Parts: sequence; C-alpha cells; structure tokens
Amino acid sequence: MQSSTNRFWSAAEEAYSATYVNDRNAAWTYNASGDVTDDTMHHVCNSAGYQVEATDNCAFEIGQGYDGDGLPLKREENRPAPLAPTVFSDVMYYLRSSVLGGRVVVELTAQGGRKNSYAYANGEEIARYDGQTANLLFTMRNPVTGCSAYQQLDPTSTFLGFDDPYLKHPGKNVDYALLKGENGYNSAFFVGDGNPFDQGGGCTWNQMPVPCGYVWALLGGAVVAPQDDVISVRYKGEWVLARFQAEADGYQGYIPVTASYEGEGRIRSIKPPTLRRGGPADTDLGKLNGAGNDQGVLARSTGFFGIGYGQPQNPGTTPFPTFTNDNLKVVQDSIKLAQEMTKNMKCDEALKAYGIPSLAALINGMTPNSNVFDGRTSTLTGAIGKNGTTESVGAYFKENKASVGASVFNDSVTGRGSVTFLGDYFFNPVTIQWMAQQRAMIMLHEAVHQVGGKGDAPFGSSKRLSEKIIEKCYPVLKGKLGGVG
Amino acid sequence: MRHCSLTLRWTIKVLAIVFVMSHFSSAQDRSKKESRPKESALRQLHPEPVESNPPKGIGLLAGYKHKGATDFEGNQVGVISKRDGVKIKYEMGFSQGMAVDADQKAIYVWYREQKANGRITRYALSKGNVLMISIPLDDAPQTLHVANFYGTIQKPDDIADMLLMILPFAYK
Repeated sequence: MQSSTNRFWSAAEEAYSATYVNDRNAAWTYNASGDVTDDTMHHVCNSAGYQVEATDNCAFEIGQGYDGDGLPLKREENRPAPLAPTVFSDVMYYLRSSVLGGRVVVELTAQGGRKNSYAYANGEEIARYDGQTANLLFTMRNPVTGCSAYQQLDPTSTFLGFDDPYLKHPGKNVDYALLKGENGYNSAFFVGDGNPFDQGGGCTWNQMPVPCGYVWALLGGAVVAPQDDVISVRYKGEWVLARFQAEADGYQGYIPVTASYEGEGRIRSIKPPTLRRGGPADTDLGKLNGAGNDQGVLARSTGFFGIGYGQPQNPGTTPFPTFTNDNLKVVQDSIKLAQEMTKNMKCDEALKAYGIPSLAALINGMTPNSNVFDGRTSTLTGAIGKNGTTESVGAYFKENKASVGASVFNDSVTGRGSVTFLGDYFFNPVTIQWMAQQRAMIMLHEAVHQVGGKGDAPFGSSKRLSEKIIEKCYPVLKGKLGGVG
Repeated sequence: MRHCSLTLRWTIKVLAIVFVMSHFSSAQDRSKKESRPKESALRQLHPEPVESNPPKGIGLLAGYKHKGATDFEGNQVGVISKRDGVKIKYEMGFSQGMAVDADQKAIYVWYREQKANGRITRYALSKGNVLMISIPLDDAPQTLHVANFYGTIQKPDDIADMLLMILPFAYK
C-alpha cells in the first residue's frame, strides 16, 4: 500500500503514504531478521522473532511474554508518567486450554483474579464473561467482514446492549493519538478488543484496533435511537425540534436543537433568555427521556429498547408503522387544513380560557411518522382492549373500525411517551360528509392531548372539547372550502 | 280610480309582507344551514349513546338503565339513569385525565382519595352537587387513561346508589 486517506464520519484521518525499497517501507527501520523495529511505534522482538515490546512515544508501552509453545502468556500495558499525565498500568496472564488447541479460556490479573473468560464452539468464540462489568456477553460475528462484536442477552435471548456505540466526537482532524484518547490513551482501545499485537484478534477499522462496540455500531447493529429521532418539544417557551442523541458518557434522550449537552444527563440552553408571554408549560424532557429522579433530563442508556423511556409491553415487529403515499397525503392535508383554520385568531384562541393560548402552536407539533403513526398495523401491545384486556394497537383499531379514528397512547403502551395513532375511521369514515373537516378536527383534538398534554376532563368531556374547537374553527372554513355548509 | 288605488295599496302591503316573511325565513334557513355542518361533525365524532350493557364492573341497581357509545378517539361514553334516581354520566378513555383535581380541593364541598387496586382513586362533591369519581386505568404516574363518573346528586340516596354502582368498577 503506497497511500491511503480515511474518514471517520466527517473527520479526516491523517493521510498515509509510503515509498518502498526492496519491499521495505523507506520510512521504517528493520532489524537483521527483517522485523520492523520502528514505524509509528517502536517494536522489539526476541531472538525467536516474537514481538515482546511495543512503545508509542506519545502514549504507552506494551510488553508481552510467551510460553514454550510461542503463545502469549503475559501482557503488560503501561503508561508511564513521562509519557502522559495519567499513569496507567495493567498486567494480564493468559490461561490456555490444551484441549481447545491452546485457546485462551481465562485471563487473569497479576493477583490471580479473573479478568475475562471465554467459551468456544466449533473453534469459534461464542461468549465471554467480562469480569470488570460482571456481564456475560455473546459474540456476534459479521459473516462478511469476519469482525466480531459482543452483545448481552436477556433470558429470552433478546439483545440488551451494553456499550455506547459512539465514541466521543473527536473534533476536526483525527489522528491516531487523538483516537487513543484525549490524553493520548484510551484504555478501551487496547484493554478491550483492540490489540496492536494481533489486530485480527480484536476489531479493526481502517486497519486500526478499535472497540468492537464501535464496529458493531458501524455495521448498524447497535442503533439505540428510537424510530423517530426528531420530535417537536416545547423548550424555554418555544416549540423547537429535539433530536435523539446518544452521548459518549452513556446518557441518551431527546435534546432540543436550542440546547447543548453538558454531561451527566444535563443540558443547557444555547439561546439567550427571552421574555415569555406565558402559554403552555414546557415539555417535561426528564419525563420524556425517562430520566427518573436524576438531576438531568437525559436517561442512562439501557440498551436497544431501553432508550430511557418505559419499556413497551411488547413492541412486536412494527410498533410504529409509518404512513406512505396516499395515506401520508391524507394525514398531511388534514394537518394543513387544521393549520389553515388556526390562522383565524378565534380558532387559534378557541381554548385560551383553558390555558391553551394557541391551537396553531399545538397543531404545528403534530408530525406524521414522528409522533403520529398508522395504528392499523401497529404491533405494540398493551392493556388497551375492552375492559383492560391486553391486545395490539392494530387489533384495537380493527375491533373499533367503524368508530375510532385516533387515539393517543401513553408511555405504558409505547415505551416512549405519548404517541398518536390513527385508525380506520380517520381514513374511511362511515359517512363522507365533511370528511376533510372532520379529519382536521380530529387532528386539532388529538394535538391538545399529544402536544398540549391536556386530557378531556378539564374541558368537561371529550365531546365538549370537540364542541369548543368546532364552534370557533368551523365557520372559518366557509370561505376556504368554497362555502361548505 | 279610487278603487284602483286601494287595490294597488293592498297589493303593495301584501307584497311587502311576503318579502319580509320570505327574507326572514331565508335568514332562518341560512342560520340553520350554517349550524348544520357543526352539528353534523360533532354528531359523527361523538355518536349518541344507545341502550347497551354497562362496562364490566359496573353493577346496575334495580330500575337503572345504561346507554353507551364509543367516540372517535375510543372513549367509552355513557349514561346510567332511572326515573327518580341519580343520573350518572361517565367517560373513560386513553386521553381523559383525572376530572377530580387534587390541586383544586378548595373548590369542592369535600374531597377524598382512596387506593383501589394499587391506584389512587379520587372522589369529590362539587358545590353544584355533582359527585365526581376519577379512577386511573393504568399504573403510569399521572396517566390520562382514566374513567370519570359524574352524578347529579339531588337527595342522599343518590350518593348511595352511585357509590354502590360505581365502586365495584374501581375494584374490578
């Protein structure tokens, strides 16, 4: 290889180029046996040709000893004081099984304690016990790249996930030292799966040893964000978009675009404070993100579906079916019509007496395929059936095909806060009279629940709420709909 | 000539009356027409209750009848009533919220809470003599999935009847 350029996401890795003389890199030095002694690191080999030492001038020293069969027996990683401010030292002994052809079955500390142990089947590693976190991790091997990653399974063999798949964002230009950590060392690179001695033994990316969790994320196997990664929230008195973010310190959740992440689950507004005119309360981000009683508003990552919200009872294969083609158009048109209605001040302020200053602000928060989904095919299940029986959202809408057009299900069903689902009645009402208006009314009504967070009871009943919206918003339609009426 | 002018005067009067009447009736029609889509939309979204069995857990006392319907957002809405008895309206659904507001205790004649099935149910008598019972239908904190019952109380027996019929629902 004479040259290479690589990118990590948007950041460029330092370009590599080399010239060769007699099949040797002209920039490197070699010993008499032809082993590399200096490339970007300094390497020392013993008389048998085994590499016994690797030193990075900026960061670390690794020593490795071998047994009589030439297999690594001891490994010592040091980061001595002159190299960096934080001193680090780790010693590990390998216990091998002759029955398994010399494979490592246990890794021991200098005191003889268990660090990691391994299980194999048909010559392949299938699981490992991580002594540091006391997790039993199952090996996942990508059949294309051959690269392995590790996942934790629950008793039903469902992936739990344990690793934050994202590295701390490295900033602009990435070089090897930066990727090893802010101070030149990131233990996760070498103490975990990456191994500069044997890159094939861990995970590599662009020929560099990296944590297998990172590769797993690159392969698309550890997507922990929910399906709708952008939603509308009210933050500091304004409706803004919030993006789902998984932070490197293990916290994740929705962060408004007008805020920045501070660490430890906390966020901070990046906009200067403004005078507020009152209006509905801000979205409870802590509750939305399932932050529990933490001081911050983000929750600690708990895995694939444990995204900080309550766990849905059973998500099934298509918990949040999206709208496409004609159906999407119907939903979008309904929202558009409702928005038209709220351009009239009477309609916009129809619920002002009930603490909702602007219906327009609420309807603008309804977004198809983000917080509004197709309930007819949803596989989410919960206690939503008749008399509290457990059934799927899809079955619920089928059962109430002729009457139910929309329902807002809460966290106990969705596992991610309130979500609006639309049903058959919305798309195919029994009578087609005033269909467009009915749909717009439905969207306005549900926006009060979904975005405004208000139930029917404060208005007297669901019917009274509809009545108040219809009373103020319907006359507005006369001109707009060619005098319908 | 005089007869002719009298006839003309009467004709003008009749025409004026006809004009005023027709104008009045067309204004009435227009007003009726204007309110029709509103009523129609409301009726379609919230159908009138029809005689049916009460929700599971509600035991009707002798003489009481139940009418129910399901609205566009899946609320079960109904009325329980009998002649000379308490009239109870109810609504239960995913987006109800608790009608009895714990922060508004001062506006009630009395307010009570009781744990039923591990959930806090609320009871209050309003100053307008409406007995309200709010029963959460799931365990999520501050859930909007609630059943709300409103009974118009005219005599002490009404409270007894309402509690006897509704309380089993809270414990079902």
